[in-house]
Amino acid sequence: MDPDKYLKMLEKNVRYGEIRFMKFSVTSFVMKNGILSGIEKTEEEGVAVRALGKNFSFISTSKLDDENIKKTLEKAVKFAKSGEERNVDLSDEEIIKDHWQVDERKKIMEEPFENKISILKDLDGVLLRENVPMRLQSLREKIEDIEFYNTEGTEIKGHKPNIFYYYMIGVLEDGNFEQGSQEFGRSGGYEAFDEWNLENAISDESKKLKKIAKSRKSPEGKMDLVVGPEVSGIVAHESSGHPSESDRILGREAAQAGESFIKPNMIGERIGTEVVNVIDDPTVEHSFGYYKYDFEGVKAKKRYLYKNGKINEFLLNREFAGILGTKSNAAARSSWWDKEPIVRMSTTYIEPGSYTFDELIEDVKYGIFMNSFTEWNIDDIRFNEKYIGREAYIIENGEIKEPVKRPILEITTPGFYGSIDAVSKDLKFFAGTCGKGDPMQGVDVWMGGPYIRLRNIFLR
Amino acid sequence: MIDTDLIVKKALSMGADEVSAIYVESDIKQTRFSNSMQDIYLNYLDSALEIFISKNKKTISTSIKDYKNIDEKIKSLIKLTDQLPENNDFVGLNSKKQTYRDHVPDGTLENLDDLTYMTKRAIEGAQEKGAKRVAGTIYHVVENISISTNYNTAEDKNVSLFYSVRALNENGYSGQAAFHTSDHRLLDDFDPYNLGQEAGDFASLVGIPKEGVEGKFDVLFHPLCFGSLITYSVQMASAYFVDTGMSIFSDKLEKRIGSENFTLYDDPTLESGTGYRLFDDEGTSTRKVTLVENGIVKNILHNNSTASKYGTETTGNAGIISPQPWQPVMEKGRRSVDDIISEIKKGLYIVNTWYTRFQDYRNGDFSTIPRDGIFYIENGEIVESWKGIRISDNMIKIFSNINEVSNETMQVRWWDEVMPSIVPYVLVKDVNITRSK
Repeated sequence: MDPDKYLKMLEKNVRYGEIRFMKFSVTSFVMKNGILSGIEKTEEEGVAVRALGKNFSFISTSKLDDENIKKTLEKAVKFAKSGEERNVDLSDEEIIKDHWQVDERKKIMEEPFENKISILKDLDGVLLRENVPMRLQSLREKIEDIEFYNTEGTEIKGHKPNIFYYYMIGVLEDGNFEQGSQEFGRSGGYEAFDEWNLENAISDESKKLKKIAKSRKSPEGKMDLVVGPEVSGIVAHESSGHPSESDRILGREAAQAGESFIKPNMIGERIGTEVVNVIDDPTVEHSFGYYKYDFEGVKAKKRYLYKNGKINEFLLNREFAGILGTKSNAAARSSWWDKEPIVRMSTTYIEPGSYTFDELIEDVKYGIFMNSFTEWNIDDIRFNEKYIGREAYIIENGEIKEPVKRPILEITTPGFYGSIDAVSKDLKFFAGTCGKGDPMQGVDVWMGGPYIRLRNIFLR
Repeated sequence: MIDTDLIVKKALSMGADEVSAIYVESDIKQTRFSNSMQDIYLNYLDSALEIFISKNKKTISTSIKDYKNIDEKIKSLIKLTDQLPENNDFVGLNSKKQTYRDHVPDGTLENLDDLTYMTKRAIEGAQEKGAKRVAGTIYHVVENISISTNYNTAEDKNVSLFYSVRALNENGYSGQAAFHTSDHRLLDDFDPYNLGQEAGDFASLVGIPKEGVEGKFDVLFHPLCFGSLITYSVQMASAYFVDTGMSIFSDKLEKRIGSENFTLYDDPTLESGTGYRLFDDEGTSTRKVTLVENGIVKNILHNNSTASKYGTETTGNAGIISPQPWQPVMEKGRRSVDDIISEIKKGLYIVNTWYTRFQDYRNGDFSTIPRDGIFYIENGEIVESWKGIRISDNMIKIFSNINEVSNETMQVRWWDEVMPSIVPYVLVKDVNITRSK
C-alpha cells in the first residue's frame, strides 16, 4: 500500500481525508457443557477511506490491490462531494507521527494451542465439581494492527493484542433457577489469566448462585443501598458515559441508540452530590479498551465526565468538537476495519473516595448490599434506568446478613448520583462490550468503580 | 469469485472428512441521517470465504479474506485439528442430496440504490407530518452467496432494501417506523416518504407526554414493538441454547408457552422479506418451520447435529455450531387494528421498545423500555401519551396473555433490536408496567 499516493489523490479533491488500513487476527473458542463446540480462526484485513467534502463519505473494501483501492478513493471523493452542503468544520488537532503497541508477556502467537483449550476444560472441571448443570464459556484472542494516515500529515501505526473470556452459568436449586455471567478482558497476552484467578471466581459465583436460588425475595421499600464495583461500573458506563457522548447530545445517534438528557449548554449543571466524580480514561494501561491514539489520530487522554457532582466534559470526536468550538478529547473509535469512527467510551469509572468498605456498611441501619447485577437497562436518553442485583444481602445494624434474591433498583440518573453520600477507596474494573452505531459496533471497554453508598432510595 | 467446489475438493484431498465452503460477496450501501440532514454516505465492499472442516470428529472453522496462499491456509487449518479434542456435539453435515427452490432476485430493486434521494424523501415525509427533526438510516444490500459441501452445491443472490425513520417533534419526543423488503412492488405502500410520514404521525400524536404510571394494563403492541420481543425470543429457539438449559424453549416441546392466538414460524422462504434464505450453512434447503402453533411449541431450530441429538430432522437453520432463525413470521388474526383498539377499556398502545434484558433466560423474566410512542387508551380512544415506563414481565406470560391478533401484518426490521420479521399488531392482557421511583 502506498499511502502517500492515495493521500495526494484525496488532498486534491476533498477538504479532509483519511485512510485506515487494519488487520485483525481473531481466534475464538466456545465450550458448552464441557464440549468444545466451536473454534473459529479469522484473519481479516481491509482499507477504509473517510472523506469530507460537502459531507462525509466512508467507503471500505477488503480487496487490497492498487486498482481497487483507487476505486475506493474515487467513490469516497464522489460521495463526499455530492448531496447537500453540511459545513462540517473539524476541530484543529496536532499532527502526529508515531508508532505504538501494547506489550504481551505471554504472547498470543506463541502460546501453545492446547494450553488455550486447557483453560476452558479446566474451568469447566471447576464448574462440574460445583455441580453447575448449565455451562457456557468462551475465550477470544484478538490482535489488531492499524495504520492511520490523514491529509493533514498524521501517520500512526498501532498494534494491540487482547484477550477476552466470558462465562454464563445456570443453577437449579429445589426447582429455583438462577443465572450468572461475567466478562473478563485485558489488552496484552495470556498473562491476563494469571491476574484473573478465574478458578476462584467461577467457583465462588457457583456457590453464591446456589445460595441465592434458595434465598427469599429482597424486601420492598425505602432503605439505604451499598453497591459493589461491578454495579458502580455499569452505572458509570450507562448513565454517565453514554449521556456524555457528544454525538448523542447533538442528535447524530437519534434513530438508533438515542440521544441524551444532557444538552449542549448543561456543562456545570449539578447531576449528583459533591462526592461524585466519573472518569473515562483510554490510557489505563492494559485496559480492555486501551488506545494511545483514537481513530482520528488524536492523542488519548483522561476525561472527567462528572466532577464534584457536576456535568464537566463531553466525549468528543473532531466533528462535534468543531461544532462546539473546542478540541477533540480523542473519543473516536471503530470496532472493525470496515466501520466508521464514532464517539465511544473506553474505561469509564466512578473515582474512588476515602471510605473503607466496612465504614460504608457500619453506618447503615437497614438496607441492601448489591455486589453484582443481572438484568439491567436504561432508556434512550439515559435518564431512567434499572439494575437487578445478582449477589445481594440484607444489611442490618451495620452488619451484612443473609442473601436475598434479585433486589430491583429502578431510578433516574440524578436520583442515583444525588443519593450517594460516601464512596470507598477501592477500585475494580470489569470488561464489557459496548454496543452503538448503525451497523452495530461492539467495542471493548472496561467499567468500574468503588463501593458506594446511597441513602434512602426505593427498592423492591 | 471463489469456486467453493474447488475449495471443498482441495480440503478433502488434504485429509478433511467433511467440508462446508461458503463464499459471500456483498455490496452494501448505506446512508445515515439526523437533524433532518444526511450525515454520511457509506459503502461496504466485501467478500469472504468461510470454511468449516471436520476431521476425526474434530471441528474448526475459519473466515478468509486474503485469498493468496489459500492452499496453505487450508492445510494449516486441517493440521490444527490434530490439537483439538473431539467435538461430540457434531455428528456430520447433512449428507442428503438437496433440491433448491428457484429464486430470482428482484432486478428492479437492485437498481433502486439512490439512497441520498431516498433519504431526502424520508425526511420530507416526516416533516410534512410536523416533525421538527428527522433521523434514520437506509440500507441497500446486494449479496451473492455460494456454498459447497461434500454433498451439495448451491448459489443464490439476494437484494434487499431496509430503512428506519425516527421523527422528533418540537418538544423532542419521537415516533418511529421501520420496514424491509426484497420486493420493489411493496414500495408502492412503504417507500421512505410514506415511512417518514408514519414516523411523523406518531411524533405528532405523542405531543408532550405525561409521566406514565405503574400497574397492569392491556397493551396493544405495534408490529415493530412485538417484533422486538419475538426477535429476542426466537433466538432462544436455537437447539444450541435450548441445550444449555438457559432458554424459554428448554424442556418445552409439545408444551404450552402461549395462548391459542399465538402461532409463530421461522419462514426464510418468504421472498418479500430481507430474511429470505435459500440454504443454510450446511447446504440444507431452507423451509418454513412451525415453532409455536396455537400456543404449543412444535419445533425448535436445528442443524444436522442438533437434530440428530434430538432424534429429528434438520430444520434448515444451520449455523453449523449453533442453529439460527432466519425470518420470524407471526400468524395474523381476524380482526382489524381499529376494532381491537375500539374494545380496549383502559390500556396502552406501544410503538417500539429497546434494551430488552433477561434476569432469567430459562423462565423468561425480563424487562424492556418502550419508546417512540406510548399511548394511553380509554374506552377505545387514545387520550394521552406517556413516557418513562418499563415493561417488567415474563415472556411466557406475555405470549400466554395474547388476546387478539390483527388481520394485517407488517414487515419490520430495525437496527440490532428487530431482525427481519413479519408481525401483526398484538393485544396482550395484564402487562406489568413499572417505572423509576
